[in-house]
Amino acid sequence: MDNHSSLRTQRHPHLQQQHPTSAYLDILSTLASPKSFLFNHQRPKPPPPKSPTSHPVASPTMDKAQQPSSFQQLEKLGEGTYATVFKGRNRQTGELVALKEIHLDSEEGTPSTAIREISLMKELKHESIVSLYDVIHTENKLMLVFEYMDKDLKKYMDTRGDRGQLDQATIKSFMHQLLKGIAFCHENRVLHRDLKPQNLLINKKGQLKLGDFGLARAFGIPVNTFSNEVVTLWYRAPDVLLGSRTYNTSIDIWSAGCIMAELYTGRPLFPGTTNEDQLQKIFRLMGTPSERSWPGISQLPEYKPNFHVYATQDLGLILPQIDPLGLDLLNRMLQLRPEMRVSAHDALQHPWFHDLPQMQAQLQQQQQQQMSGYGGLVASQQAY
Amino acid sequence: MIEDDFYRSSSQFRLWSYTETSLQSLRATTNANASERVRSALRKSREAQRSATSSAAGTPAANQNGSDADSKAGGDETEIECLTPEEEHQLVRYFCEQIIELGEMYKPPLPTIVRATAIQYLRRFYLTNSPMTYHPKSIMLCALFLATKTDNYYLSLRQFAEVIPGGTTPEDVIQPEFLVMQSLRFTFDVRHPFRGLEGGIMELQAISQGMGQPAPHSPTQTSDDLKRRLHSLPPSPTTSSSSITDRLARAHHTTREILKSAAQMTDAYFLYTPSQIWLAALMIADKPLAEFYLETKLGGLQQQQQGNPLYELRSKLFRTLTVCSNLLQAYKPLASDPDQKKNLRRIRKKLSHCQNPEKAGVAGQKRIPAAAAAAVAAVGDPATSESEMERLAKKRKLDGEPLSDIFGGELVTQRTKEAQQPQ
Repeated sequence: MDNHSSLRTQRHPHLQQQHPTSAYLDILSTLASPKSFLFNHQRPKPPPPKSPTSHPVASPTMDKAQQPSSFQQLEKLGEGTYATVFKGRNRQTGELVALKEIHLDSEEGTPSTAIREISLMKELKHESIVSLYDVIHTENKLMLVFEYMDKDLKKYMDTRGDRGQLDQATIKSFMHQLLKGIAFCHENRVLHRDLKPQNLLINKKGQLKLGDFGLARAFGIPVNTFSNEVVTLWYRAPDVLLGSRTYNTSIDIWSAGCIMAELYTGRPLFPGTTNEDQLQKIFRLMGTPSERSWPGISQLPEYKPNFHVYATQDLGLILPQIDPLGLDLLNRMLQLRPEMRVSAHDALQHPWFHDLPQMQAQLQQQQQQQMSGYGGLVASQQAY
Repeated sequence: MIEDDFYRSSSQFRLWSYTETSLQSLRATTNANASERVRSALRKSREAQRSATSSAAGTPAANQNGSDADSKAGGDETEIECLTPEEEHQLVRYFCEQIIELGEMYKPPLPTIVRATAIQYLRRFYLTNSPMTYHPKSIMLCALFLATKTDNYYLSLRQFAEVIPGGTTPEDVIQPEFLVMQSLRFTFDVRHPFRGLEGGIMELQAISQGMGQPAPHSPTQTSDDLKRRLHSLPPSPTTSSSSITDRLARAHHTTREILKSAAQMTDAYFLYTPSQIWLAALMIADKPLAEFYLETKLGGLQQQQQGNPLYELRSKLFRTLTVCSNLLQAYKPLASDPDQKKNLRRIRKKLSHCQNPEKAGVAGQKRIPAAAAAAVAAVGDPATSESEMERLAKKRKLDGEPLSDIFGGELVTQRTKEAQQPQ
């Protein structure tokens, strides 16, 4: 514990003897996180008083470290709206991490999206939600240290699946984990609001975890972001597309339904280009709702009385691989009317999941075979 | 999982819950460490000043804090009087009240939740930091701005800073942001008792309309039984209202006011859970009503057999709620208490003599280069050091000025003055 508290001290923002240029050179020379230069130039000062009753959040990364650790910054994994994500390695333990570097806005201080994400991740500790190990900062950078995940679901499908399609056992396992993560969020009164394959992370153990809570609960439904990247409409619930402001947990269930269908086909279920196109694609398959099937729909801001009227199609026709139980669950998730959608908690009790333990055993066998196929490449990596 | 389990997994429970003793000892430790640093820093600055004046006579006084104390003391070995933990606590409470005041000045006023969150940030911050090290008037602004971000109340930094009296710049507001975030251990989610209160009132309203849900432990009870019992409750000693709707509305209002004031200004959040806090506040507002509500959950007097787990739970809960409501009731707002006001003026004056000069200003990131440069200059050759010292003195003065009068006095007085001015 002492070691831990000294780490906290050294993350202090006051680099009183730190010369700016030398700090910069040091960053370059160590190719590392701001932490390592903090440690090298630390002015000795008394540690802040420790609280006798409280314990720092247990962090696997920190606890294993015998000495102040630093992270080696490896390749860039992605660029988000307010952050750049790098792969990193804990110099002490060799453990891989994801380093999310927050772009600081000199106008507003730390971006509120970053603060919201940190805030949520500190509360949401669950096996199906990616873990935030630590937050590191210096005077001009903020870095979130996340548990490392190998791929996002989109990339996973591109590389693993048969033209993007996944096998039954994997689909069931992923959906179960996805719903567990969603259920936990909802129990904690958190809406994710931006569930899509790119935000679901997969590791070599076959675990799926919810990531990227930057938009969760922060600014309502994400629209165009600050960069050119447009937030995808494909997983957005019809009530939200119709302009409802009173959406609730059911919006995440709609997204989960869209994702489930995509796991079967390898293609997005409703790849709309505009708000109207998105609604039309949904109605073409699920049928155009009316005041009779959805009381109150005509009051929604984006509702048009002249929507083209489509009849409801059988989802099974476009998903020939799905079994009847799976189709039943999918239909419960893809209800147009938000209040008709199944809750995450109830979805987890659905009979489709009853044979999950057997299928998982089967899956494990498969994975072992695949892992041995990787050979030396995998052996050099830790844990996964 | 039940609601209680969720609360137990929250950072508020894991990192920010204490017993009275642990809270006290934490504050004592913080105070002792800060006092030690203040003494050594003041000693150092006096020595530096002495050597500076001897080597370069005529340098304008570089210190902005110690000069008064120095001339009065006449020597540097006099004991520097530091704030006591109790004085620190009083001071922080004053600035918590200032958050309420400041929030009122925005148009529209900042939501209660934002202000309450900011107050809890400030209180958490000063568990491990001393006002002698970081003056609360700058930390409170930063805490309030941070709370607008965490509670989704979007306000640009410029809009936020404009309202603050005393020429505070946007930079002043966010200067200590990292320091504050770190001291909060990056946990920004505060569990308030307001939501629970709303739920409880809704349940009581449902009962009053005969739509209440009897608890699982009393299967024979019906919604009508509940309604009848609620309507025949003895009147609360503090109210004499006629209809049950009025009574609920009044209890709701009074409880909410307690949650907005006493619950924020005392250690309630550190010592009790959100549900305990709102139930204790409801007990103050309308005791028979609070007891009735608990009865619907935990059974009433007729189930008083020993060994009944509900009975045990009930007596334990009542003990806790009584202690908590005593804490809430003991709160007296500063504004209405001349003694406290006088005491506070004394504390603020005392603080001006024991503010750590190394941390003067705020978290002082802007000042760091100057401080670092000073350290370099001090060991460098005397010629450069002299001009450097002078330059630094000026710079420090510039840096220090806007911060030294963020409010130009107390908000309340300022507002009164404005009001008194003939238009």
